[in-house]
Amino acid sequence: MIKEEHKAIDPHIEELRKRLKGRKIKAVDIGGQSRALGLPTICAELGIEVTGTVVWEHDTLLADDLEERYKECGDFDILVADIQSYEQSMLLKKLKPDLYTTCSFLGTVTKGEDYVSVRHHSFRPDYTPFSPMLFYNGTLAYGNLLLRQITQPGLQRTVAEHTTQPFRDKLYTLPLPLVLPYVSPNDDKGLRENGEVVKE
Amino acid sequence: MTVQKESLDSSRYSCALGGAYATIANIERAIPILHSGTGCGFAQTFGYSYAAGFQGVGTIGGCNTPSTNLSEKEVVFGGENRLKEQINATLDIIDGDLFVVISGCIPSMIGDDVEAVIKETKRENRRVPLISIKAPGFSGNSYTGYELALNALIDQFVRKTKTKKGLVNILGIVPNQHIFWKGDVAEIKRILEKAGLKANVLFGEGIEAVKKLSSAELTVVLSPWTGIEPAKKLKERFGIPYVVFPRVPVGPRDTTSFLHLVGTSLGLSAGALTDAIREEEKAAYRQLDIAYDILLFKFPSLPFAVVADSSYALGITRYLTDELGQIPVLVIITDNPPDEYRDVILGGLSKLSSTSPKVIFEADSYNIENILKRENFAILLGSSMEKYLALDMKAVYLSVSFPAFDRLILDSSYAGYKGGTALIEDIVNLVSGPI
Repeated sequence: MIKEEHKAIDPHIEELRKRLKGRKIKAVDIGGQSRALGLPTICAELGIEVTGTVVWEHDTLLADDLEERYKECGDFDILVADIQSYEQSMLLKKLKPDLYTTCSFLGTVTKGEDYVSVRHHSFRPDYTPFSPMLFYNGTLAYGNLLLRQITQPGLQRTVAEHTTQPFRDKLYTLPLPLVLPYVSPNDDKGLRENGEVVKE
Repeated sequence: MTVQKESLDSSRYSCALGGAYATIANIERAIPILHSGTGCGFAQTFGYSYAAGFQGVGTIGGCNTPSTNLSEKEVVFGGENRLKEQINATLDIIDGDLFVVISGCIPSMIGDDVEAVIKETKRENRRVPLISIKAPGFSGNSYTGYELALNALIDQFVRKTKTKKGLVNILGIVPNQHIFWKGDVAEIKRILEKAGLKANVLFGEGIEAVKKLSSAELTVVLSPWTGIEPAKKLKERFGIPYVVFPRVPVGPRDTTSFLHLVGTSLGLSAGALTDAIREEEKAAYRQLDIAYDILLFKFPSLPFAVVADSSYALGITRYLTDELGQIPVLVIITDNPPDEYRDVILGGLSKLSSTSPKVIFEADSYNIENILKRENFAILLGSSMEKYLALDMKAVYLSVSFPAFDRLILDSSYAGYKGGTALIEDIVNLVSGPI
């Protein structure tokens, strides 16, 4: 069955990789811990570099799984925090990702001029054919969703240009009020205490 | 580019008579007198008015329209006497300000001298406001009929009047053929008035609007091709310059471009329209801000296809792509535009914020269905002819073009600043609920 599934989706995954190739996409994810585990894997399969992932909650039992993710996907930062909307906005300004995946109930934060924002899931039942993220078809569907939004960020550009943000400019001059409790063993570029980015 | 063949399966427009008839019947207190075969008029009611979002008989449509109902007798012996009889009967019992004889295929083929009948009637009663339009169905489609009607009005009825500063004629929106025509002209009028100008949209103000065509400072054609000939005629006869905005502006960005074009053409200062634009854009983008979440949930850069006539296809495709971030994969243009205008249409679909869609000129419904079946899209905006195909293909579907047998359209519109908001509402509503 696994062989059969791979035979069916591998050419499509390859096509997605080809279309994303050369874009050097850096992704930041903010969401629940299942996303922290799952999204880096999908991104790695598609050739997207994951810069960091922010998890709203964390179970220590997942530590081993995270180690596996590092092996599969390469190094990336994990921040565990019940991060607030303004903090997310600050974090994104600091990290300057190309792609930002999140739960999109955050209004302003998802309307980036400099990055593409992709929603994890919809509101209430989300049964549209383009929505799955699980298993074989989910990889394809989510890969296509990422590709579509990376290549056509028109809606976000429109709202970024024509609607207002609630935060004062001075917010972005302040240090990030965040602590990084879990740093990958080989990390030499991520966030440190007080949230300062010490090295790009 | 596909060259349109002569015969069509379920065409997306009516004949020239249909276009002329709908144009005249929708000018308040203008009375059409059909000089055509039995059934021509009522076929327009069923196949053209009802197909345009159930546009009803109204005051003078349907069975209320005077008609010579030509049959074998007139084909053999000529229809002039019958026309004279019908004109006199109409003048006798129907209350109107302008009477318009619209000749169809039969009188054109048998050679009726309609002009002679008109002249004779006027000789008998000089005060009769009576003109004629030669609109045999074979002379073109309903877009052509609209132009024939306007040309006849300009040649035979409109007189030179004093220019009114800031008055702008709006041409190119064809009654019935553009299923949202009433709402569209109302929104365009509202926008221009907000900007301190006045719009003559031809419909809704009686025949005074027809007379005022010669008072305008400028004519704006909202189509890549329909309305250009009458605009040229207004220029030749009354010296009114014209500009072409080759689409119905949908949403804030294109509507602001439209206003800038009008402002520049009238020689207004750069800041003259600023306040109106700022206020309208702010309101429209505020609504988009609110709709952002649901658009991101349900319409995350989805591939879409459009089946519509050129001016609406351009307006809707550009808005969905450039402002709402959807991905155009296929646009089928159904109004069979003349070859010389097709580059303008292609140009309007080639510089978008996403990849350019495949553009096909096709008016044949069988071919349209086959073309659609070969594409992948999640949203289809088309005519009600595509409704069940779209549902079979699991696509979200909305009627935005002729024919639209599946929705009643009164003052709905996707034109202008408010029209973009209305389009968002209508698309999102297709995927909403039940819980």
